Amino acid sequence: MGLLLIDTSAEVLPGLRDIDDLYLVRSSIERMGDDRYRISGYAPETVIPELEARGCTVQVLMTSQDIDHFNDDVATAIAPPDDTPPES
Amino acid sequence: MPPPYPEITAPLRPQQIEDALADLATTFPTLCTRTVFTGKTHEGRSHSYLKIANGTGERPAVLVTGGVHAREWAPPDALVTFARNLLVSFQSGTDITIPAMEVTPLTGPPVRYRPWKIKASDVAGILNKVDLYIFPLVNPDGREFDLTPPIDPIGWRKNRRPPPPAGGDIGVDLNRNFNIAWKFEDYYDLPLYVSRYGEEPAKRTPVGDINQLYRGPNEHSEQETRNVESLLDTLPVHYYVDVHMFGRKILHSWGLDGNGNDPAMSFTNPAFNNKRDGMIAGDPALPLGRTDYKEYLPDDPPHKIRSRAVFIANAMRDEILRAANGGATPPAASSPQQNHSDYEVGPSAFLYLPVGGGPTPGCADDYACSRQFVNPARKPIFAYTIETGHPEEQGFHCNYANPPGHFRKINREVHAALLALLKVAAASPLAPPAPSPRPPNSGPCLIATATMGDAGHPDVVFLRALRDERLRATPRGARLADLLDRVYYSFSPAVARYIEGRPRARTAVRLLVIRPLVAVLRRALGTGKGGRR
Repeated sequence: MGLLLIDTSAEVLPGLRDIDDLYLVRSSIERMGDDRYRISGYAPETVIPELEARGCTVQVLMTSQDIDHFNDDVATAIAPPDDTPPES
Repeated sequence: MPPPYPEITAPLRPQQIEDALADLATTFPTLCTRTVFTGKTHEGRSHSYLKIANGTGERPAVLVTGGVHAREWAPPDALVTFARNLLVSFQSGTDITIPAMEVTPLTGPPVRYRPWKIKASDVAGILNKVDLYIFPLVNPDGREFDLTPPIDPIGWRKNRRPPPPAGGDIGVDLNRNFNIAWKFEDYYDLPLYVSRYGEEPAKRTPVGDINQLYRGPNEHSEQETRNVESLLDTLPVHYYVDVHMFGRKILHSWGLDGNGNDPAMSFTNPAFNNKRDGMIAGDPALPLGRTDYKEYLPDDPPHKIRSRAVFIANAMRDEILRAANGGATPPAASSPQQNHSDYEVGPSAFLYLPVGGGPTPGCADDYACSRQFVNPARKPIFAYTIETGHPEEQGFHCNYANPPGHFRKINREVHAALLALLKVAAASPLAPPAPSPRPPNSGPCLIATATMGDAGHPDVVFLRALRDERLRATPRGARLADLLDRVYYSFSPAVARYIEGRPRARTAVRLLVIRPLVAVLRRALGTGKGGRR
């Protein structure tokens, strides 16, 4: 999963939620003027051709590899879990 | 742990957050108390909130929550930092200094930010006049899961409610579980809603919940939800902020539908069940001849809830921009600092409209807003959701390392937004909830009433509207109005009682004081229409 920034038109935008494997972050929607919008989403890079075919301009903010590396770094930086597990 | 506190350089685990709250209550016992909720989460975790205040008595309360959605890393950590900074500043009498920073967005070159200070006098003004409640981590089970490797790229949104025995997915979206239009199939005209937006506003079952929007088996089914509701039900909260991620937005209620003027159009009115359209005004999908439903949010004086909600949201946005500009008013021309710190203000209801999504029920901010209609003595309540962070700051899982400094920047923005809100709260003391007596500034103009014998006389209405609508439109004006009220009500009841039984005195006051005063004000201010409310 990469983190994508998608520029598109008002007409195309609602249909993006039908794309399999694209997780749109709806709160990230930005009005760019002239009926253009920018929204971000998480998706494998294989989704990009489908987006471009629909007229979207796609910027890859983080590749899947970037995210994996980042998450590995965080996993080593965060505190270890509590020794005593919570009650169940 | 005594201050100074170390900078947070990785997302705090739930137990670290609980430890931090307990530590603050121990270190600052006269300013800070910690309350642990009696109920535990599905995984057996306790959680708690802080009350930060200097002084007692009836004061407006501000409640700030974070960590409702597990994967939104920054808000709980920023709220812990904010609590620490307030307490250290108040105790030591020193300004809070957010240091200079260089932040590298994913979309471009680094941006330098100057240091920004919150004055110690502002902190003192806030803690002396406001009861601040901070509940930084509403969903500890979900956060613990999200932070447990392997960390999922999209992250975990819900809590960790076990799936039902018949099968299904784990978890409930807490921000669809609040007891406000939770049963959306009753609140909305659901066939119309679905025909317009293509899907229901939340998931009714935990099966196939890929977008993590399951509302739960019943309203406030989750302990985490009930904890927030209990604070909103029992504390004199007039300001509520729920800090989320991401999208740089400051959203105000309602989220159920557009805001309207008709008191009958209320979530409390069952006559509208199954008839609410959930559409923005002018939506061509609204059937011909059908009245557009809008959820009632009054804008009447003295509280002017609707317009003041926007005013306060704009104040938060402006303070974020000032903080990005080192505390100075941002220049008219756009700067990189502004471009990367510009929050959009708007109502929650139609946030998702461009993406094809409709309004959302069962949310925390609307539950907060609804309390003033369930109990009118609670008015006013201003409720917000802040979507802090941005895709260029790595979305849900922002980077805490420096560089790139994403968390540092988000932390600054959360500080700025809350500072603005708290300054408004401190500057505009509000009526405490019932059964407290009505404050003098919500009473009638006694002299005018006694003089004219009619509280609805156009001159009386004019004077009252002048005070409540024009003067109270800004915090400074509200302070002036409060001062004038105090002076006025120090003598007017006695004068009113005196002239009430003396027709000649009433006539003299009417002709020599009230009418000339109103005439001069109407001419000077150009507000000739008193109008009855």
